[in-house]
Amino acid sequence: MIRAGYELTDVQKAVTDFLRSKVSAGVPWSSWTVVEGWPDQTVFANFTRLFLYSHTPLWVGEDVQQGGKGLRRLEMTIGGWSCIAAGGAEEAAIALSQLLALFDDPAVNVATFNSVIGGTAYTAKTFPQLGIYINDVTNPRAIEFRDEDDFRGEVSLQITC
Amino acid sequence: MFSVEFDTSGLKTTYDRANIEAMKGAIAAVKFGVEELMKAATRNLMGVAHPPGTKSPYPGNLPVTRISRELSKSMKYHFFNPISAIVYSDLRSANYAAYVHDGTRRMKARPFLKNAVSERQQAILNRMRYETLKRVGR
Repeated sequence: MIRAGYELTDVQKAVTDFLRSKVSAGVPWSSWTVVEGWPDQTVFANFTRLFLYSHTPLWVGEDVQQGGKGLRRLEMTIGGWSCIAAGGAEEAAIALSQLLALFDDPAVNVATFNSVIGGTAYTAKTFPQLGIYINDVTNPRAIEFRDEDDFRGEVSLQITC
Repeated sequence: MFSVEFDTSGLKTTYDRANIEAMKGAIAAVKFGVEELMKAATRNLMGVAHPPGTKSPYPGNLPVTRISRELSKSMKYHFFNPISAIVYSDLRSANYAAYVHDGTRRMKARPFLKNAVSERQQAILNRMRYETLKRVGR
């Protein structure tokens, strides 16, 4: 049965678990790590690898459909954070282009991964099997501060669930 | 000899009028969009007020807490032309706006503008559709 009644953080968990599955799958993803939510100080204390982070999705609307409750439309930000020790601007650019290619490809909705959502383990499920649909991804937005040696960028996912 | 002539001047007039009305709809919708984004972004910056040097009562969350109110006052808009506008935070008023919006190593991001766009984009698109159809449908 397709899971329903998602909390926003459940969707965040599913997408983060999907990224974790990519990181454990092979290069170039295996050079990076994944952080759920905003990185805390322990992440920066050992900052030698680029990490991907995920914001909690934002509810942006609801699809209207006849004869039932419409799907919720969410927007979720995913970012790549690099520093000089983690490969600098080049590594950040690779990570962001990989994120764009990954979520822009319709195959993202047929890729299987393991996830634990709300205490329930789901093995080898696709996003639609979990009741989540990745619809679109925006172009990466670079975030640069002159006084920091960090290189960052973010993409936004359009999700329905 | 037999010839047929079509008078399309009426069609052209209708087409031109539809274009003008669609443009009027777009102008009204852009104006609405700017107002909505200004309202939503400013709302995201109108959190609890607390004195300088004290900790935020809810760090890392929206709405951004207020210390000097400079950030909420820095919200501006500019019309490039009647159908193109920008809503932004003026860095001359609050040069730390980008740090608050995008976060740093020591501070969680509070995307007051990006979230405003995400929250209001559907309402703005709906208004654009409504304003255009209302005028062109006449």
